[in-house]
Amino acid sequence: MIRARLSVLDTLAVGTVGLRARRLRSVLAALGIAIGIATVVLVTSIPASSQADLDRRLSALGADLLRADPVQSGDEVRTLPTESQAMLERVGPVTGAAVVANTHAQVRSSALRSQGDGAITALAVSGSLDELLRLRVADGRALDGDVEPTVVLGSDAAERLGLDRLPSAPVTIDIGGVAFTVVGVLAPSPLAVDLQSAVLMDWEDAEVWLDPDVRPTVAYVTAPVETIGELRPVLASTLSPESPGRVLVSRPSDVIAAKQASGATFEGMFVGLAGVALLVGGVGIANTLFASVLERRREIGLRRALGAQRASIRTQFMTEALCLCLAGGALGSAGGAVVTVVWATSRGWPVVIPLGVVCVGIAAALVTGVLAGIAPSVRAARLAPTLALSAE
Amino acid sequence: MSVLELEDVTKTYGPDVVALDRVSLRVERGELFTIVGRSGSGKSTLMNIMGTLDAPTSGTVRVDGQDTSGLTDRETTELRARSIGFVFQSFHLDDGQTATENVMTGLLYAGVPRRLRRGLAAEALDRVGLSHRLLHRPPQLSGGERQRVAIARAIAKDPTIVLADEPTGALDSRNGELVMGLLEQLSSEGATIAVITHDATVAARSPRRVALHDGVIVGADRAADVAGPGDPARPVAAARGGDPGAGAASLSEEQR
Repeated sequence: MIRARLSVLDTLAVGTVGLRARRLRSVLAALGIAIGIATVVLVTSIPASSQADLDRRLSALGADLLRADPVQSGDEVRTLPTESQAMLERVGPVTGAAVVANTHAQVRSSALRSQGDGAITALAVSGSLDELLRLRVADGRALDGDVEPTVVLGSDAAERLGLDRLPSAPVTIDIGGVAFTVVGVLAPSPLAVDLQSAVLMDWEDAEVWLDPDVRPTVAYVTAPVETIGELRPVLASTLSPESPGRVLVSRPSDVIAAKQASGATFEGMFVGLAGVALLVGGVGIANTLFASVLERRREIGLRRALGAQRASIRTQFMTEALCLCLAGGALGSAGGAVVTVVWATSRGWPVVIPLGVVCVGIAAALVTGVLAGIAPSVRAARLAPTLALSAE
Repeated sequence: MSVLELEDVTKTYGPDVVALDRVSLRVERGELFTIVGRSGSGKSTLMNIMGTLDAPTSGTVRVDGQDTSGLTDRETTELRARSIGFVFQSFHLDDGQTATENVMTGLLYAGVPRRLRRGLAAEALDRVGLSHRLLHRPPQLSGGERQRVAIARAIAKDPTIVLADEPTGALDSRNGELVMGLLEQLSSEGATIAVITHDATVAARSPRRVALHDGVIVGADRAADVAGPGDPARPVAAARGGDPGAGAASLSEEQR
């Protein structure tokens, strides 16, 4: 008795005969699918990598950070209470507090003269600000409370002063008529953008050299993330018991999150594009197969004469469609992955390629293959062997 | 015993075209049998029906004693895979595959297990004298060699009957000679072969032959092969008895 069905190996061998005989066309047909799958992988992997980067930054910088600013009105310069830091430290869940004061002292430097002095602010900092904002020193060292007038530069300020790299000899800049020695340069910190264009000095230095009555203009606190919500109004009323509305409490990490969320709205559009690309790829494969069936009528007739069942012919062409789509899917996934790696690496993001999406992409390629293969393979199987053989 | 038997086979296309008209013939085991007729005589239709590629409008086709009329496409295909080997005028080889692979394709659909195919294919190619061409592809072979590959593909599965449709039609006379010599040799080794040809000299080499004219068997070496229920008006051109070659030759003369 003859086995009506070919073995898996035979099916694969027969199903790829046509592909091997028409390599260029096969590659082009598979490329259509590959582009679709690559798009699917890209539109999910790149936002995922970007999200991972955001998460990493947020956790590095802290979603546990709150910032309090006095609400300004008119010409009156409002400040926070002098004892702000101590007041905040007494609030229950607060784990750390720091204050920053704008000294309004002018920063002068020969390097800066041409660009105007106003844009660089001189800030006095107190408490564990470095720790709260996870400030990192890119060059030199941090402030250490020594008696000399010393400053560290925010990254933008350092650039404007031509001091991104500290020279080996000590450098001083003129702040409010006092020569402050530059001891360090800070790395950029997205959560404290206003610090980037400032020079920072110890609170005591500011009191001694610039203004004995320096008053806090910004306060930072950290607290366990789950208490942040209820802590907000408490901070305002702590700093301004009579009118809490005069203090604005914000969470710096929310700003970054909101900025990121606006980018995510494009994602749906890209997924739609990926679907269109897949559809076009599928139509291309169906088209290739139809042409192939017409072209290969003699081969089909011969196979039928040699004893191939209709089902074998159907399977042969379906196998071709599936092989094309699988190859396209694999190629597209690999291509999408490579582009994601390059893109994410170039932006310093961690590389995230959701495995589930790659699986879905390959499954989508297979479904496309089945859909594209049905009509051509049914047509091939229906060809009468006599007609097929007489075709020249 | 007849390995292939046609009884009153008629094939019509639409109401007007009668391609075959009550054709009856029998091919006996181990013989080399020839059907001769010019183009348009219904040869191809006859070949397709003998090979179960097409079904008759009426009449009976028996392969290996089995009536094919009640069979499904699947069963017919299975019968064909097992029992019938085809040789075509234009070879019908896959140019992208080696001689061995082409022969193996014939074994694939006959259900021969994968591990046996290569050996059987090499054996068949050896029988047709191509053991030195196993890995050549058709474009690297002469026409005669290609047809011998096709013959190897037909005989490799050891079918009940080999149907050869104009096997020399695409070959020069020397290669045609070689191919006919090969078919004769295979026949003498026990294969049953039916050749369909328009070429009287090819037909002349066959020990037994019938002539087909306008869908009707008009000449035969044996009365039993004559079609239809004895129509006296039907021209019987081939000589009964005597030299069979001369008979076929005169038939082809008449047809020109």
